Amino acid sequence: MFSLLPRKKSFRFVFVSALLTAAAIGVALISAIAGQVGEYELAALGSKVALGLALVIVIYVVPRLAQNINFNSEFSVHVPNAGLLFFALILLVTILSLSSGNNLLYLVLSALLATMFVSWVTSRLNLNRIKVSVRFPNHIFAGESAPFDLTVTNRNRLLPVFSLTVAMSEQDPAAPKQKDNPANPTELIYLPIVPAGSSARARIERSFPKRGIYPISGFIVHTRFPFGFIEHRRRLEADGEIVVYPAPRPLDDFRQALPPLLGRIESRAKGSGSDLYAIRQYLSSDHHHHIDWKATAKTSQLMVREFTRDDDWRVTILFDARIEKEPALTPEFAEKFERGVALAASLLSHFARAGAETRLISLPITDSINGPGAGPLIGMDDSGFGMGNSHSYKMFYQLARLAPAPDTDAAHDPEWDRSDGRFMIVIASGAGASHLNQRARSVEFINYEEL
Amino acid sequence: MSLERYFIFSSYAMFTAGYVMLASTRQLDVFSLGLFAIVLAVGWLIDTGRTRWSIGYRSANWLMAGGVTFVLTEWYALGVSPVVVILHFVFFAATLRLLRRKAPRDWIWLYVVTFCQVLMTAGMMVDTTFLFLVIVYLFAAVSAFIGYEMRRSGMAFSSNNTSRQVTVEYWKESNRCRLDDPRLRSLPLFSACALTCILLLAAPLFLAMPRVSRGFTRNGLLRGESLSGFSDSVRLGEVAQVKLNPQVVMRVRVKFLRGSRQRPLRWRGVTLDNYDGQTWNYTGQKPFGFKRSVDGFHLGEGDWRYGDTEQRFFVEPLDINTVFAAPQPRLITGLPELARDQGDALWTTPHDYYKLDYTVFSDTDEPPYEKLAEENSRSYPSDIQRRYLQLPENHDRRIDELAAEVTRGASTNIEIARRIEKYLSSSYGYTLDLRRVEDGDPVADFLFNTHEGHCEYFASAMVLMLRSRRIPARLVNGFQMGEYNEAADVYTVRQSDAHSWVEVYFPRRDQSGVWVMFDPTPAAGLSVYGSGMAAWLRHHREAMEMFWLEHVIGFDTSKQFWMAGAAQRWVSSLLTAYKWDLSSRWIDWAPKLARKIDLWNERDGAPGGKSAGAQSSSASGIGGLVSHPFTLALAVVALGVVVAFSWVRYGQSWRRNARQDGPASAVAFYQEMLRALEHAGHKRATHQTPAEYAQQLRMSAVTEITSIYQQVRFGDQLLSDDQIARVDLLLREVRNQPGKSRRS
Repeated sequence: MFSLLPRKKSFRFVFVSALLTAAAIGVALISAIAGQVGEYELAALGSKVALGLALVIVIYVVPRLAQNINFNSEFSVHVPNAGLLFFALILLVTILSLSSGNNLLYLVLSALLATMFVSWVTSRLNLNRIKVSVRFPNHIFAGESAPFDLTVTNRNRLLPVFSLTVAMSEQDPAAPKQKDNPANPTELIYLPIVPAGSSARARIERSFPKRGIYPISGFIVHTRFPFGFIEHRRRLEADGEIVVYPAPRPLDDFRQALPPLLGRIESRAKGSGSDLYAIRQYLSSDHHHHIDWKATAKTSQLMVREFTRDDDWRVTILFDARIEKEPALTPEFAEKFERGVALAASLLSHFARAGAETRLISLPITDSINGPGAGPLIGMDDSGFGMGNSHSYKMFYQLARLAPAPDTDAAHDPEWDRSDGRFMIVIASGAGASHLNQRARSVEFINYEEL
Repeated sequence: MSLERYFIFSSYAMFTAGYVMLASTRQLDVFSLGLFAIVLAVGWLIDTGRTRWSIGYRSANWLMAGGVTFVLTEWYALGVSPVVVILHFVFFAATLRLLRRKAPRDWIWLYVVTFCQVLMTAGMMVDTTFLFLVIVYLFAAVSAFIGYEMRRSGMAFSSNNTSRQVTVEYWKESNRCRLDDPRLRSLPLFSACALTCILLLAAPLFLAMPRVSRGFTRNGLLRGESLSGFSDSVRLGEVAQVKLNPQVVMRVRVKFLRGSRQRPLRWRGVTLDNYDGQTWNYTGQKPFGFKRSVDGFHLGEGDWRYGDTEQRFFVEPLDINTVFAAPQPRLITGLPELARDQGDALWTTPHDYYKLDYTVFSDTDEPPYEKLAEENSRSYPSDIQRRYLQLPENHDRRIDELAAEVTRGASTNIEIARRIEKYLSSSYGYTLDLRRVEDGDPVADFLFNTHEGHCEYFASAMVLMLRSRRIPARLVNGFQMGEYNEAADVYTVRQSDAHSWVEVYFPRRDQSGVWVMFDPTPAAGLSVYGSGMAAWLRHHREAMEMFWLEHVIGFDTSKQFWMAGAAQRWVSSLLTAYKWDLSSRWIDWAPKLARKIDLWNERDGAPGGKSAGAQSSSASGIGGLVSHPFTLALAVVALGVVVAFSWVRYGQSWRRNARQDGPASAVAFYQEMLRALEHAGHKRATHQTPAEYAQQLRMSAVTEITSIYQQVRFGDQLLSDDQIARVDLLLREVRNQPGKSRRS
């Protein structure tokens, strides 16, 4: 059994407003009739009461009209400045009509009110039967342009849709999650017209400056058609997430900050295998069999060939996102953290291209519903060793999800499979790095706070 | 047509419509109108890019200051009418924006200024031209606002997304064919449809809006026509001046009641009793006012009756206070005030700025000739003798001799009057172009020298001749009946129908007296109206004007009640035709309820109660208000709103679409689940995906519904019958879940 009384605040507002308006009209009518039959005192009292009710309506209704009014979870209404001006004109004409009794002004007032109603209905109908879908690449790197194929379908067979703006509501991974105030939608396209029974398709190039997971909570289509007095918005539910990987950079970008490490990395990469690694100048320790005569002839300097390692080469990168609380949320620290993540991605990319089996361990991971770092530590993410693009993307996905985890016990040392004790690079904050440094051997440590 | 072109074209159409509306009020001089037309043309050239010239912002500010100075000078120093000054200022304000490259707010400013032009026109014009112009304006305005909105939205998107260049392709869904870029051809059609909807909706709104006045149709800003010849003092020749003007003074709808004889009528205006040789004057006391009763002003004394002729007057705004009516009015309705002087002329409040709409019931029957001849008496009251036997000091005795000669052998007063009337109408010619032969009394000059004149002279001559025979007579200025318009069923009375005639006093046996009308003007002096196609067109145009005047300009509270009553009677007659006894009880319940409420009031001594048994169909009393058609209509509308709200809220079912549109029905039932959970206190956060939400709640019903939702929504499937039943069951389970907090 349902109740006829509105439960929602917005419905109660409509109910009370309608009641106040009906009361004001009723009292004004009583006043007019009383005046006609000679009850002047009642007429005067009625007119004062009607004016008072009108004042209450202006104070109670108009400010709320200027705000967004959500009548249900899907449609919402907003009155822009042009609409407020139009309402003011209606009020002016109403006052002129009542005071002058000029029926032509009543005619103009009727036309204005009818215009407002038609505007409302048309705007609402404009958003009916619209379907929006978007396709985008599975793998997007930060800072790189990615094509988004947007399709807006008008399922109405008779009426075209006019003046439609489509926005996608996606959560910025860096912003704190707000339950009642979702992220600002990103406008994707403006369509002046979508004919009846047809769809508009567009390819939109988008780039994301930051890596992360961007959950898509829906689309918002809005229009001020036809007259711009009322803006109707409609929220279309949608599921999905945009995963933006950190963009790998050439290791040379980090050379200045980490020259010794990079040298050790390179030396690890080099070996006595048959694949050419690099051509460089001759050093006295080089074997003469490795001289590359062709390069020597070209450069007029003795040049030697360097070869990759021939054996199975495995590299593990461990990214420890645990930090102390204090520096956790400052913009400077966040920037350093991002550089650390970018370094991890660059290293993984480098080693993958070099033919190594790569493995990424990231810790900690938390309950993702409440956001990274907002819940108890429940473990770590281990990609395992692997090669190829799919494995690389899997690791990039791990990196995309990474976030600083403050307020955790940095002394707690997570357990990972240390059986393969070959080359490992640990990227951590100063405190974490120093802690792990005490415990591990044959490991290269990078403090991303020093990048 | 591109959007930009459509927008500019429709905006200028709107500005032009506003300009034409103001021009049609005929209040502006040709120079101002021509200048603004040029401004419109130049503005068009600027906005379409055909010229690079425009005024800058600084120049515009200086010009604005100059313009304000100019209009103030016009008003205070030159004494120009305030209405014209305001119009000049409005034109000037629009000009400054039209002549420069427009920002979005400039367009808004121009729209507001044009709207003000419409409002001003509404205050100055009341004929049907306004309706046509408003419709044209509305069409242009609808198109302009649509164009402006689309243009603004496009520019706003472009300014927020400057780096994004997007190419859009259009595909037909039914056959997957690519479409050419859609043009905006459908916009004018849409504008026309929107305008039609607006007009259809505006009509009932106009009829239903509460009015606070009854009966008076207001003109507003413009002063009415000036009319001479209808005051306390009229110089001979003033009425002739009026007769040169073809302007409409009033329209009269006449009904002859109770099978009375239809005869040509005259519309009495003022009566004049004293002639000084050049001017006729009224010398009686000031008019005395009537007290208005419920149904109007009763003019008869003692046992009055409604009379046999009903006349409804639609009088244009005039600078005179005269109330025109057929002789011997008994009841007048629709006037704010009424007074009558000793000459039986009627007066009301000044109506320089608004029309009058009033109804007169007159007793237009005159006593038969034989009766007057039989009652032939020379016993006049002293006041009648003093005022209506007066002759000027320099009265020409030749008039007395002429009167005696013409009436030689007449034995009764009525015969004397008739002979004089006939003599004048047959022996003298009619002309409006007067010439004088001798100085002195113009009437004597007319009678003995020129032998031609207009109605004032004929009437004045007859009055003087009758007075010379000791018969009381007076001059009456008024109007002839006018041109009958069969299309509108009205008599159109123009200034050229102004007329003078004579009233002669005949004492009756019961000590009273009667004034009988005589008209010595020959037939050539009476108005002649054209015929043929021109007249037919004129009549039908006037019929349209009358309809406009009565049902739009003159629409008021009484007409609203009448309409509501007519609607009620129509419904009742329909139901009676179908012999629905139950329905007649339904129709009767409203007055019965009103009577019960009023009886209750009366028993408790509350004010506003009526006596038992009296039918409360009027608007007074609480019962009347409850059963008032407007109150009932409000109640029906409120009920309709509640029903519509309930249907929207609860009636739309996802099951309806389940077999046709799976994704839509999936969204619908998923949202139904969300509403039920929200009511139970489990509101989904906007950042949560459906899967995350289901996982958080850990309810099997929610998880299963979410799973089905995702299958149907993104898998593009339709729900099977089993799934529909299953979802139904799960939704019921969700609704029955105990909530975190229940809200009443």
